[in-house]
Amino acid sequence: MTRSSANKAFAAGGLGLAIALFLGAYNFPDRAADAARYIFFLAGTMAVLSLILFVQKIPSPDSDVRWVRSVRNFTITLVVLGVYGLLIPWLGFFPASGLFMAVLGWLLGFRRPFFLLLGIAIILGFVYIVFAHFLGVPIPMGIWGE
Amino acid sequence: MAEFFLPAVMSLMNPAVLFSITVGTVVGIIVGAMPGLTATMAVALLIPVTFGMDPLVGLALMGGVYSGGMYGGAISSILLSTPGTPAAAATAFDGYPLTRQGKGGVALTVATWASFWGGILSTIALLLMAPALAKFSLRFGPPEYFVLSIMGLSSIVTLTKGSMVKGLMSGFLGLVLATVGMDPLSGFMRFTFGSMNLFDGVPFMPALIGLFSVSQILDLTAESHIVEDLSKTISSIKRSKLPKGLGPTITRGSIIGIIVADYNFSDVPV
Repeated sequence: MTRSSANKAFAAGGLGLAIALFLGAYNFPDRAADAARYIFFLAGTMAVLSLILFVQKIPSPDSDVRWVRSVRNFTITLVVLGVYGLLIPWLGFFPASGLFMAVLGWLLGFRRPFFLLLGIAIILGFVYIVFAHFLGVPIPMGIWGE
Repeated sequence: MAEFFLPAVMSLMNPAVLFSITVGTVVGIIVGAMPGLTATMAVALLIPVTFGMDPLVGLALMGGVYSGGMYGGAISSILLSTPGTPAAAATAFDGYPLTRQGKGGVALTVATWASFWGGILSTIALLLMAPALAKFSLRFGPPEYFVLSIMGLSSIVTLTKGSMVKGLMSGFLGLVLATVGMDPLSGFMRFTFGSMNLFDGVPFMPALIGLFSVSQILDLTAESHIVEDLSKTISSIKRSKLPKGLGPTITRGSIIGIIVADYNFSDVPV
Protein backbone atom coordinates (compact mmCIF):
# COMPACT_ATOMS: atom_id res chain seq x y z
CA MET A 1 0.00 0.00 0.00
CA THR A 2 1.36 3.45 -0.94
CA ARG A 3 1.38 6.39 1.48
CA SER A 4 -1.24 8.29 -0.51
CA SER A 5 -3.65 5.33 -0.59
CA ALA A 6 -3.06 4.79 3.15
CA ASN A 7 -3.92 8.46 3.74
CA LYS A 8 -7.06 8.08 1.63
CA ALA A 9 -8.07 5.01 3.66
CA PHE A 10 -7.56 6.95 6.91
CA ALA A 11 -9.52 9.89 5.50
CA ALA A 12 -12.38 7.55 4.55
CA GLY A 13 -12.32 6.14 8.09
CA GLY A 14 -12.40 9.67 9.53
CA LEU A 15 -15.33 10.60 7.31
CA GLY A 16 -17.17 7.44 8.36
CA LEU A 17 -16.60 8.29 12.02
CA ALA A 18 -17.82 11.86 11.44
CA ILE A 19 -21.02 10.58 9.79
CA ALA A 20 -21.58 8.05 12.61
CA LEU A 21 -21.09 10.83 15.20
CA PHE A 22 -23.49 13.12 13.35
CA LEU A 23 -26.17 10.43 13.15
CA GLY A 24 -25.62 9.49 16.80
CA ALA A 25 -25.94 13.08 18.02
CA TYR A 26 -28.94 13.70 15.73
CA ASN A 27 -30.93 11.23 17.82
CA PHE A 28 -30.13 12.92 21.14
CA PRO A 29 -33.28 14.17 22.95
CA ASP A 30 -34.05 17.91 23.27
CA ARG A 31 -32.82 18.05 26.86
CA ALA A 32 -29.34 17.08 25.60
CA ALA A 33 -29.25 19.72 22.84
CA ASP A 34 -26.02 21.25 24.19
CA ALA A 35 -24.33 17.84 24.27
CA ALA A 36 -25.46 17.21 20.68
CA ARG A 37 -24.10 20.61 19.57
CA TYR A 38 -20.65 19.69 20.88
CA ILE A 39 -20.76 16.34 19.05
CA PHE A 40 -21.83 18.16 15.84
CA PHE A 41 -18.80 20.43 16.23
CA LEU A 42 -16.48 17.43 16.65
CA ALA A 43 -18.11 15.60 13.73
CA GLY A 44 -17.82 18.70 11.50
CA THR A 45 -14.16 19.27 12.37
CA MET A 46 -13.35 15.58 11.86
CA ALA A 47 -15.10 15.66 8.45
CA VAL A 48 -13.19 18.78 7.34
CA LEU A 49 -9.83 17.32 8.48
CA SER A 50 -10.63 14.02 6.72
CA LEU A 51 -11.45 15.85 3.50
CA ILE A 52 -8.18 17.80 3.70
CA LEU A 53 -6.29 14.52 4.23
CA PHE A 54 -8.16 12.98 1.31
CA VAL A 55 -7.25 15.69 -1.22
CA GLN A 56 -3.77 16.41 0.17
CA LYS A 57 -0.97 15.72 -2.33
CA ILE A 58 1.94 13.52 -1.23
CA PRO A 59 5.37 14.75 -2.38
CA SER A 60 6.47 12.40 -5.20
CA PRO A 61 7.75 9.72 -5.38
CA ASP A 62 4.95 8.11 -3.36
CA SER A 63 6.58 5.78 -0.82
CA ASP A 64 5.38 2.31 0.12
CA VAL A 65 3.92 1.77 3.59
CA ARG A 66 4.39 -1.73 4.98
CA TRP A 67 2.01 -2.17 7.92
CA VAL A 68 2.38 -5.90 8.44
CA ARG A 69 5.79 -7.53 8.30
CA SER A 70 4.61 -11.11 8.88
CA VAL A 71 1.11 -11.64 7.48
CA ARG A 72 0.79 -15.18 8.93
CA ASN A 73 1.72 -14.22 12.50
CA PHE A 74 -0.26 -10.97 12.36
CA THR A 75 -3.42 -12.78 11.17
CA ILE A 76 -3.00 -15.53 13.77
CA THR A 77 -2.60 -12.92 16.54
CA LEU A 78 -5.61 -10.93 15.35
CA VAL A 79 -7.84 -14.04 15.13
CA VAL A 80 -6.69 -15.42 18.49
CA LEU A 81 -7.22 -11.99 20.12
CA GLY A 82 -10.76 -11.88 18.70
CA VAL A 83 -11.55 -15.43 19.87
CA TYR A 84 -10.11 -14.58 23.31
CA GLY A 85 -12.45 -11.57 23.56
CA LEU A 86 -15.42 -13.80 22.67
CA LEU A 87 -14.37 -16.59 25.04
CA ILE A 88 -13.96 -14.45 28.20
CA PRO A 89 -17.71 -14.01 28.93
CA TRP A 90 -18.39 -17.71 28.30
CA LEU A 91 -15.31 -19.49 29.67
CA GLY A 92 -14.34 -16.92 32.31
CA PHE A 93 -11.21 -14.75 32.54
CA PHE A 94 -8.68 -17.25 33.89
CA PRO A 95 -9.35 -20.29 31.63
CA ALA A 96 -9.74 -18.02 28.57
CA SER A 97 -6.49 -16.16 29.36
CA GLY A 98 -4.59 -19.41 29.96
CA LEU A 99 -5.86 -20.81 26.69
CA PHE A 100 -5.11 -17.56 24.85
CA MET A 101 -1.50 -17.39 26.04
CA ALA A 102 -0.85 -21.10 25.39
CA VAL A 103 -2.37 -21.11 21.89
CA LEU A 104 -0.81 -17.80 20.82
CA GLY A 105 2.61 -18.71 22.21
CA TRP A 106 2.53 -22.11 20.48
CA LEU A 107 1.29 -20.76 17.14
CA LEU A 108 3.90 -17.97 17.16
CA GLY A 109 6.63 -20.57 17.44
CA PHE A 110 7.38 -20.96 21.17
CA ARG A 111 7.91 -24.72 21.40
CA ARG A 112 8.91 -25.21 25.04
CA PRO A 113 5.72 -26.46 26.71
CA PHE A 114 7.12 -26.54 30.24
CA PHE A 115 8.23 -22.90 30.22
CA LEU A 116 5.06 -21.86 28.39
CA LEU A 117 2.86 -23.46 31.06
CA LEU A 118 5.09 -22.23 33.87
CA GLY A 119 4.92 -18.65 32.54
CA ILE A 120 1.13 -18.84 32.19
CA ALA A 121 0.77 -20.25 35.72
CA ILE A 122 2.97 -17.51 37.20
CA ILE A 123 1.18 -14.68 35.35
CA LEU A 124 -2.33 -15.93 36.13
CA GLY A 125 -1.39 -16.74 39.73
CA PHE A 126 0.00 -13.24 40.15
CA VAL A 127 -3.11 -11.66 38.60
CA TYR A 128 -5.34 -13.74 40.86
CA ILE A 129 -3.44 -12.89 44.05
CA VAL A 130 -3.11 -9.14 43.35
CA PHE A 131 -6.30 -8.26 41.52
CA ALA A 132 -8.85 -10.91 42.59
CA HIS A 133 -7.69 -11.73 46.14
CA PHE A 134 -6.26 -8.45 47.47
CA LEU A 135 -8.02 -5.80 45.38
CA GLY A 136 -11.31 -7.68 44.97
CA VAL A 137 -11.60 -6.67 41.30
CA PRO A 138 -14.71 -8.38 39.84
CA ILE A 139 -13.44 -10.87 37.25
CA PRO A 140 -15.74 -12.54 34.69
CA MET A 141 -16.21 -16.17 35.74
CA GLY A 142 -18.32 -17.31 32.76
CA ILE A 143 -19.94 -20.71 33.06
CA TRP A 144 -18.16 -21.32 36.39
CA GLY A 145 -20.53 -18.83 38.05
CA GLU A 146 -19.75 -16.15 40.66
CA MET B 1 9.12 28.60 57.57
CA ALA B 2 12.57 27.69 58.96
CA GLU B 3 11.12 27.14 62.43
CA PHE B 4 8.97 24.30 60.98
CA PHE B 5 11.51 22.98 58.52
CA LEU B 6 14.30 21.93 60.86
CA PRO B 7 12.10 20.01 63.35
CA ALA B 8 10.43 18.30 60.38
CA VAL B 9 13.81 17.19 59.01
CA MET B 10 14.88 16.01 62.45
CA SER B 11 11.72 13.97 62.89
CA LEU B 12 12.48 12.23 59.58
CA MET B 13 15.75 10.94 61.07
CA ASN B 14 13.77 8.58 63.31
CA PRO B 15 14.76 4.97 62.35
CA ALA B 16 11.10 3.89 62.21
CA VAL B 17 10.35 6.68 59.73
CA LEU B 18 13.40 5.87 57.59
CA PHE B 19 12.41 2.19 57.59
CA SER B 20 8.84 2.98 56.55
CA ILE B 21 10.11 5.24 53.73
CA THR B 22 12.37 2.40 52.50
CA VAL B 23 9.62 -0.22 52.66
CA GLY B 24 7.13 2.17 51.08
CA THR B 25 9.48 3.04 48.22
CA VAL B 26 10.23 -0.63 47.43
CA VAL B 27 6.52 -1.53 47.53
CA GLY B 28 5.73 1.56 45.45
CA ILE B 29 8.26 0.64 42.77
CA ILE B 30 6.82 -2.89 42.51
CA VAL B 31 3.22 -1.62 42.38
CA GLY B 32 4.10 1.19 39.94
CA ALA B 33 5.82 -1.25 37.60
CA MET B 34 2.62 -3.30 37.31
CA PRO B 35 0.44 -2.06 34.47
CA GLY B 36 -3.04 -1.49 35.86
CA LEU B 37 -2.01 -0.39 39.33
CA THR B 38 -1.32 3.33 39.77
CA ALA B 39 0.59 5.10 42.54
CA THR B 40 -2.63 6.80 43.70
CA MET B 41 -4.37 3.40 43.89
CA ALA B 42 -1.47 2.04 45.98
CA VAL B 43 -1.75 4.95 48.42
CA ALA B 44 -5.54 4.47 48.65
CA LEU B 45 -5.04 0.75 49.38
CA LEU B 46 -2.49 1.57 52.04
CA ILE B 47 -4.73 3.93 54.04
CA PRO B 48 -6.33 1.14 56.18
CA VAL B 49 -2.85 -0.31 56.89
CA THR B 50 -1.66 3.03 58.30
CA PHE B 51 -4.60 3.42 60.73
CA GLY B 52 -2.73 1.75 63.57
CA MET B 53 0.57 3.54 62.90
CA ASP B 54 2.09 6.67 64.31
CA PRO B 55 0.88 9.51 61.98
CA LEU B 56 4.44 10.44 60.95
CA VAL B 57 5.38 6.82 60.14
CA GLY B 58 2.12 6.33 58.21
CA LEU B 59 2.61 9.52 56.19
CA ALA B 60 6.22 8.57 55.43
CA LEU B 61 5.05 5.13 54.27
CA MET B 62 2.42 6.64 51.96
CA GLY B 63 4.90 9.21 50.63
CA GLY B 64 7.39 6.43 49.90
CA VAL B 65 4.76 4.34 48.13
CA TYR B 66 3.64 7.30 46.03
CA SER B 67 7.16 8.38 45.05
CA GLY B 68 8.25 4.78 44.36
CA GLY B 69 5.08 4.20 42.34
CA MET B 70 5.67 7.26 40.18
CA TYR B 71 9.17 6.00 39.38
CA GLY B 72 8.16 2.33 39.05
CA GLY B 73 5.80 3.18 36.20
CA ALA B 74 8.84 3.95 34.07
CA ILE B 75 10.21 0.38 34.41
CA SER B 76 7.45 -1.39 32.49
CA SER B 77 7.19 1.63 30.20
CA ILE B 78 10.86 1.30 29.19
CA LEU B 79 11.12 -2.50 29.12
CA LEU B 80 7.68 -3.45 27.75
CA SER B 81 6.32 -0.24 26.20
CA THR B 82 3.38 -0.62 28.59
CA PRO B 83 3.21 2.29 31.05
CA GLY B 84 2.84 1.14 34.65
CA THR B 85 1.25 4.48 35.53
CA PRO B 86 -0.40 7.11 33.30
CA ALA B 87 2.43 9.55 34.10
CA ALA B 88 4.95 7.18 32.50
CA ALA B 89 3.19 7.08 29.12
CA ALA B 90 5.64 9.51 27.51
CA THR B 91 8.61 7.51 28.87
CA ALA B 92 7.71 4.67 26.49
CA PHE B 93 8.25 6.88 23.42
CA ASP B 94 12.01 7.07 23.93
CA GLY B 95 12.65 4.37 26.55
CA TYR B 96 11.32 1.36 24.65
CA PRO B 97 13.30 2.05 21.43
CA LEU B 98 16.42 2.13 23.63
CA THR B 99 15.47 -1.27 25.11
CA ARG B 100 15.13 -2.70 21.59
CA GLN B 101 18.64 -1.45 20.85
CA GLY B 102 19.92 -3.31 23.91
CA LYS B 103 20.23 -0.08 25.93
CA GLY B 104 17.40 -0.74 28.38
CA GLY B 105 19.83 -0.44 31.30
CA VAL B 106 20.88 3.05 30.19
CA ALA B 107 17.23 4.09 29.84
CA LEU B 108 16.45 2.78 33.34
CA THR B 109 19.52 4.55 34.78
CA VAL B 110 18.46 7.85 33.19
CA ALA B 111 14.87 7.37 34.42
CA THR B 112 16.14 6.67 37.96
CA TRP B 113 18.38 9.75 38.09
CA ALA B 114 15.79 11.99 36.44
CA SER B 115 13.10 10.72 38.81
CA PHE B 116 15.36 11.32 41.83
CA TRP B 117 16.32 14.90 40.89
CA GLY B 118 12.81 15.68 39.67
CA GLY B 119 11.45 14.49 43.03
CA ILE B 120 13.98 16.56 45.02
CA LEU B 121 13.42 19.75 43.01
CA SER B 122 9.64 19.42 43.04
CA THR B 123 9.67 18.85 46.82
CA ILE B 124 11.71 22.05 47.29
CA ALA B 125 9.31 23.90 44.96
CA LEU B 126 6.31 22.55 46.87
CA LEU B 127 7.83 23.63 50.19
CA LEU B 128 8.42 27.16 48.90
CA MET B 129 5.26 27.66 46.86
CA ALA B 130 2.54 25.55 48.50
CA PRO B 131 0.95 28.39 50.56
CA ALA B 132 0.87 30.77 47.59
CA LEU B 133 -0.47 28.04 45.29
CA ALA B 134 -3.20 27.10 47.76
CA LYS B 135 -4.47 30.71 47.70
CA PHE B 136 -4.09 30.96 43.93
CA SER B 137 -5.99 27.69 43.27
CA LEU B 138 -9.10 29.12 44.94
CA ARG B 139 -9.27 31.80 42.25
CA PHE B 140 -9.53 29.23 39.45
CA GLY B 141 -12.88 29.22 37.68
CA PRO B 142 -14.39 27.94 34.42
CA PRO B 143 -12.59 30.53 32.19
CA GLU B 144 -9.20 29.48 33.60
CA TYR B 145 -10.06 25.80 33.14
CA PHE B 146 -11.06 26.53 29.54
CA VAL B 147 -7.85 28.41 28.76
CA LEU B 148 -5.74 25.64 30.28
CA SER B 149 -7.61 23.00 28.27
CA ILE B 150 -6.91 25.00 25.11
CA MET B 151 -3.25 25.17 26.12
CA GLY B 152 -3.21 21.37 26.58
CA LEU B 153 -4.80 20.86 23.16
CA SER B 154 -2.36 23.27 21.53
CA SER B 155 0.45 20.91 22.57
CA ILE B 156 -0.72 18.72 19.63
CA VAL B 157 1.03 21.24 17.37
CA THR B 158 4.37 20.78 19.10
CA LEU B 159 4.05 17.00 19.56
CA THR B 160 3.07 16.26 15.97
CA LYS B 161 5.81 14.99 13.69
CA GLY B 162 5.13 15.00 9.96
CA SER B 163 1.53 15.59 8.90
CA MET B 164 -0.23 18.25 10.99
CA VAL B 165 -3.63 17.12 9.65
CA LYS B 166 -3.07 13.61 11.03
CA GLY B 167 -1.96 15.09 14.37
CA LEU B 168 -5.11 17.20 14.59
CA MET B 169 -7.26 14.21 13.59
CA SER B 170 -5.66 12.17 16.39
CA GLY B 171 -6.36 15.00 18.85
CA PHE B 172 -10.00 15.20 17.77
CA LEU B 173 -10.25 11.41 17.96
CA GLY B 174 -9.23 11.76 21.61
CA LEU B 175 -11.95 14.37 22.13
CA VAL B 176 -14.48 12.05 20.45
CA LEU B 177 -13.48 9.20 22.80
CA ALA B 178 -13.89 11.58 25.75
CA THR B 179 -17.54 12.17 24.80
CA VAL B 180 -18.40 8.56 25.74
CA GLY B 181 -20.28 8.48 29.04
CA MET B 182 -22.55 10.83 30.93
CA ASP B 183 -22.87 14.41 29.65
CA PRO B 184 -21.91 16.55 32.67
CA LEU B 185 -24.56 19.21 31.94
CA SER B 186 -27.68 17.24 30.98
CA GLY B 187 -26.84 13.82 32.48
CA PHE B 188 -27.61 12.20 29.12
CA MET B 189 -25.69 8.99 28.35
CA ARG B 190 -23.68 9.42 25.16
CA PHE B 191 -22.49 6.45 23.08
CA THR B 192 -22.56 3.98 25.99
CA PHE B 193 -24.64 1.38 24.05
CA GLY B 194 -26.29 0.39 27.32
CA SER B 195 -23.04 -0.76 28.91
CA MET B 196 -22.75 0.27 32.57
CA ASN B 197 -18.95 0.07 32.26
CA LEU B 198 -19.02 3.10 29.95
CA PHE B 199 -21.30 5.33 32.08
CA ASP B 200 -18.24 7.11 33.53
CA GLY B 201 -16.53 7.25 30.13
CA VAL B 202 -13.71 5.13 28.75
CA PRO B 203 -11.60 4.16 31.81
CA PHE B 204 -8.11 5.65 31.53
CA MET B 205 -5.90 2.73 32.58
CA PRO B 206 -7.56 0.04 30.40
CA ALA B 207 -7.48 2.47 27.46
CA LEU B 208 -3.80 3.18 28.07
CA ILE B 209 -2.87 -0.50 28.43
CA GLY B 210 -4.92 -1.44 25.37
CA LEU B 211 -3.44 1.38 23.30
CA PHE B 212 0.15 0.51 24.16
CA SER B 213 0.05 -3.26 24.82
CA VAL B 214 -2.25 -4.58 22.10
CA SER B 215 -0.51 -2.48 19.44
CA GLN B 216 2.78 -3.79 20.85
CA ILE B 217 1.60 -7.42 20.62
CA LEU B 218 0.61 -6.91 16.97
CA ASP B 219 3.85 -5.07 16.20
CA LEU B 220 5.97 -7.84 17.73
CA THR B 221 4.33 -10.68 15.75
CA ALA B 222 7.03 -10.43 13.10
CA GLU B 223 9.90 -10.47 15.64
CA SER B 224 11.72 -13.39 17.20
CA HIS B 225 13.33 -11.20 19.89
CA ILE B 226 12.23 -7.91 21.46
CA VAL B 227 15.83 -6.80 21.91
CA GLU B 228 17.59 -6.48 18.55
CA ASP B 229 21.10 -6.39 20.01
CA LEU B 230 21.48 -9.62 22.00
CA SER B 231 25.19 -9.15 22.67
CA LYS B 232 24.40 -7.26 25.90
CA THR B 233 24.09 -9.44 29.00
CA ILE B 234 21.95 -8.82 32.07
CA SER B 235 25.07 -7.90 34.08
CA SER B 236 26.05 -5.28 31.48
CA ILE B 237 22.55 -3.79 31.80
CA LYS B 238 22.98 -3.66 35.59
CA ARG B 239 26.29 -1.84 35.18
CA SER B 240 24.85 0.79 32.82
CA LYS B 241 26.10 4.27 33.62
CA LEU B 242 24.39 7.62 33.27
CA PRO B 243 25.46 9.21 29.99
CA LYS B 244 27.25 12.54 30.38
CA GLY B 245 25.65 15.89 29.55
CA LEU B 246 22.13 15.05 30.77
CA GLY B 247 22.20 17.54 33.68
CA PRO B 248 20.67 20.48 31.78
CA THR B 249 17.99 18.20 30.25
CA ILE B 250 17.05 16.75 33.65
CA THR B 251 16.93 20.28 35.16
CA ARG B 252 14.79 21.55 32.27
CA GLY B 253 12.47 18.53 32.59
CA SER B 254 12.21 19.06 36.36
CA ILE B 255 11.20 22.72 35.89
CA ILE B 256 8.57 21.77 33.27
CA GLY B 257 7.33 19.02 35.61
CA ILE B 258 7.06 21.48 38.50
CA ILE B 259 5.01 23.89 36.34
CA VAL B 260 2.70 21.09 35.16
CA ALA B 261 2.38 19.79 38.72
CA ASP B 262 1.44 23.31 39.82
CA TYR B 263 -1.47 23.19 37.40
CA ASN B 264 -2.47 19.85 38.88
CA PHE B 265 -2.18 21.41 42.32
CA SER B 266 -4.82 23.85 41.12
CA ASP B 267 -6.91 20.77 40.25
CA VAL B 268 -6.71 21.55 36.57
CA PRO B 269 -6.48 18.59 34.21
CA VAL B 270 -3.79 19.59 31.71
